[in-house]
Amino acid sequence: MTAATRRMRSARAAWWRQGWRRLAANRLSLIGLVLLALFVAAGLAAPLLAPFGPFQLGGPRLGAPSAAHLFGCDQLGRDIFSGVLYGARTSLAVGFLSVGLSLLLGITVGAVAGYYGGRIDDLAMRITEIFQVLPRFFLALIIVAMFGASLYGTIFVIGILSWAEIARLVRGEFLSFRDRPFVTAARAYGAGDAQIMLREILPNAIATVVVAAALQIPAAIILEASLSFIGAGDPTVMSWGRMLTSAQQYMRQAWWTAVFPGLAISLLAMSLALVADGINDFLNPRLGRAR
Amino acid sequence: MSAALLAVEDLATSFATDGGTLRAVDGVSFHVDAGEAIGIVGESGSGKSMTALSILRLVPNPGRITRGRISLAGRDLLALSEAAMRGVRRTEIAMIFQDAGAYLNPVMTVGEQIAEAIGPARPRDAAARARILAALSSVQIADPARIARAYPHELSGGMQQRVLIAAALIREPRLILADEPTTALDATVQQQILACLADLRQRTGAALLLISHDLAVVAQICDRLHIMYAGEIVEHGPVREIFAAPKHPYTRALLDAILDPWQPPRALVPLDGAPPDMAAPPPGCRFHPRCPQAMAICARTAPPARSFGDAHAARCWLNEEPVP
Amino acid sequence: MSEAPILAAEGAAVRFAVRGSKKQVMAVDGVDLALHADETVALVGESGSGKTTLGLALLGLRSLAGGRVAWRGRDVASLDRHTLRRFRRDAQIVFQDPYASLNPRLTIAETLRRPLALHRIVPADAQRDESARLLDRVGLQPGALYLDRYPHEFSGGQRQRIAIARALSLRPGLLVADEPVSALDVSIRSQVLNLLTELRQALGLSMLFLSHDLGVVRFIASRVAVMYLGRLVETGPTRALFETPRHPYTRALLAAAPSLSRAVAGPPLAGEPPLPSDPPSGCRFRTRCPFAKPRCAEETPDLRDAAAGHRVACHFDL
Repeated sequence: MTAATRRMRSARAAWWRQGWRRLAANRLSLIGLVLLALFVAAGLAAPLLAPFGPFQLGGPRLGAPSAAHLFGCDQLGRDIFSGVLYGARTSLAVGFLSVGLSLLLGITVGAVAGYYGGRIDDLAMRITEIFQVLPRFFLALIIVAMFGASLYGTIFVIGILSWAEIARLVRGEFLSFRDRPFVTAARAYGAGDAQIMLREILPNAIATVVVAAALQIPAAIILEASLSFIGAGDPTVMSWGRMLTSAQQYMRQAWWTAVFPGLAISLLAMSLALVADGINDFLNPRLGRAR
Repeated sequence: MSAALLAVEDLATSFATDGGTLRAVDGVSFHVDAGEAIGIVGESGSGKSMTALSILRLVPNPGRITRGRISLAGRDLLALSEAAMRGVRRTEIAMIFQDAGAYLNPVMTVGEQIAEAIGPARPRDAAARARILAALSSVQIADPARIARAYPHELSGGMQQRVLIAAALIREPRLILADEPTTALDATVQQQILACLADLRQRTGAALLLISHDLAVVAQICDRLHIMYAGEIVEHGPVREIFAAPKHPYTRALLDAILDPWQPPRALVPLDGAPPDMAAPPPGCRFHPRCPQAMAICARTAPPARSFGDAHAARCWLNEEPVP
Repeated sequence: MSEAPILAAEGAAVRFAVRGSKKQVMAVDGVDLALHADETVALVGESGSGKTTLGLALLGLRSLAGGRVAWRGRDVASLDRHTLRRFRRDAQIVFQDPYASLNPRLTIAETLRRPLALHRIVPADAQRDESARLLDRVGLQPGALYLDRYPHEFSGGQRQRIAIARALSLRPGLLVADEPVSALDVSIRSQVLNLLTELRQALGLSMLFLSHDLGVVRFIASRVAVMYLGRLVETGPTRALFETPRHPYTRALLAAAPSLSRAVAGPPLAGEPPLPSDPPSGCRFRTRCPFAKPRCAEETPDLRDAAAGHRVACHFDL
């Protein structure tokens, strides 16, 4: 390893270290990160941690929280604690995968639209608008009708419905950065369009986008719940949304049927929002608060 | 000496930041007499803009005025309530900023914004209209009726600045605070603005406190000059005297850096280094790290002020006899 | 000049469409400008003059609506990819705003590495050392110390030096400097001007220096071209142009420049700068010219020789 390579590697390590230091300075986002990690761990370890299967019957119907059933049971006697654990998998999968799809589509369309402008931009924006005005459930029903209700179908639908917002954001950022002097400088030394979009502008645009994406995840989770409600969700997987919708009727008698899944969604959403803030701090080498 | 219109005594404004306390203004004293034009010259970080904002009590968070007295015609401005201070800002002191466009509301016409300056009631009657048109004419706008109906983005930078000046002067303030009013503008437009300001001063008798980094601009319009460096005033005096016989190395460096297009070019002898970090300014004389004539004592002790006749003073150990 | 100019605009025209309306703005409208080896040409103009647009067009960063730009005799628009790459190495740019010239997300090392890597100036393991050397060359010593920092850790003057280092990394023959010192403090301005002068001499660079500041122009340029609303109104050797300005606009610019050697400033230039989208017919300066005659509205004056190398676009000998 040459001295130069060693210096470069230590510079990269320094980047990570500095980034972490910035993120760690933000207490709230650290809490969010820990919470998120807990949820991920809970989801991954669900088969190990859950005392019962998610659909397993046999508990007391609408049984209150007890030693055997930490979060109580629903109207069919299914353990809510196990449901929450298994539901974490579904929610996290739906949340991250659908938003991942939406990011892929949104960044591609937004970057091209914002960078090239003109007719390409007009075309891209018209397509984006179509997706923004699509009635969500209508589209979901069509897809379910065509492909049957499945988890991946749900993820696909949610991704299709969410990318437009990302595209608009990305387009705005690219428009704003396209004519900045440092971008012109890159064109002046001969960098190609792809290189400029990916390596000059995108690193600057990504912060806003990551935050928006992180906030889309809880929305995706709730959207999945709504889809489950109308029967377009995958009936073979347990999800918090479905637990909430079935708890609607029993909330007044058995608060635990709604509170625990609801808390899970809220806490996950909050942790994602806090993490999004932390990601911004991590990526952004700017100085602190007061100038 | 007649009672000054504006008297600033030992003003200090600081910012509490993650990196320490930033003393942007650190013991500044000066006065402006009625009808006078005073210039404050300094580069970035000198504290000149913060001085102006402190006078108007518009220091942004987390800054605070930490000591000093600011009196306008005898009234202590720092002791006033916020409501009373708003009154002062509306009627007695006018402020003109750099980048006029940023201070104009893009969704209101120019006429409406000047009407706002007249008073919160935003009168729409004929008398108010006449005042607005008169204000626009007074800043040499040729077609006031058309401009009054225009939106800010339809006007050039120079026109926007003149509109701001018109709005600022419509209440006939006694003091105009202008912070780099011509910096973003072309030379020909700058000339127009300066002529406009001079003309208005003559007609209304208002005093002017002009803040700039451009010595040549200040020299054209001001009677007296204060040179600021790192939060302090290092030299002050009548413009002509300072130009003829500067008594501080920084002033000399600023004068040396002027490139006069009317003179054949000469070699530039630049100043090394950069303005100091105001969270940790150098000990002793703040200018000593960059001073070509720095001595041992300069790094230890801040020099006292010494007068040179007609209200001309500077703080430099080189002026002390015997040179320590 | 016997040898071919390094870079030349021949009848260059650049058009902008104003979004939301049908209006077209001819930001540059028929400009001939040539830059030879080892000279510094200043392009003087105020905002709206089109000088930045012309500077970018000369570098092939703005497409032409008419005319052509020739690099060492060859039409830039017709260069194949390989030659275009060589052109990009030879002609570089430094911008006005030091706070926007550097990618805020990249370290200085990365900012300097990318052009070096793209053009394979030095092999990969030597790029870091070369970057450090470049920083040393522009006065940021020791260069190695600054490589792993981010732009926001530097002052305006330092950032401008880094931008100059980036431009020089490709060892260009020509540098377009777009108001490189206008945004800097006065004491820093002198430092950077001296740096540019010194680099120009040491490296045999040609410079196209865009500025509205006549004092700086007189200091640094050997030839001056004055631009108004997309057209050149006067060109000539620096001394001749400053001592005997022939075009009323040049005279107005000089009269407006704050100067300590003149006792009283003359009366300011009358009228408003016309909108670039709606220029006056004939001579564009006529609406503000104290010498305007009816002919000025009918006929557009071209640049004509007034003295050795000194050309002016005016119908009259003033």
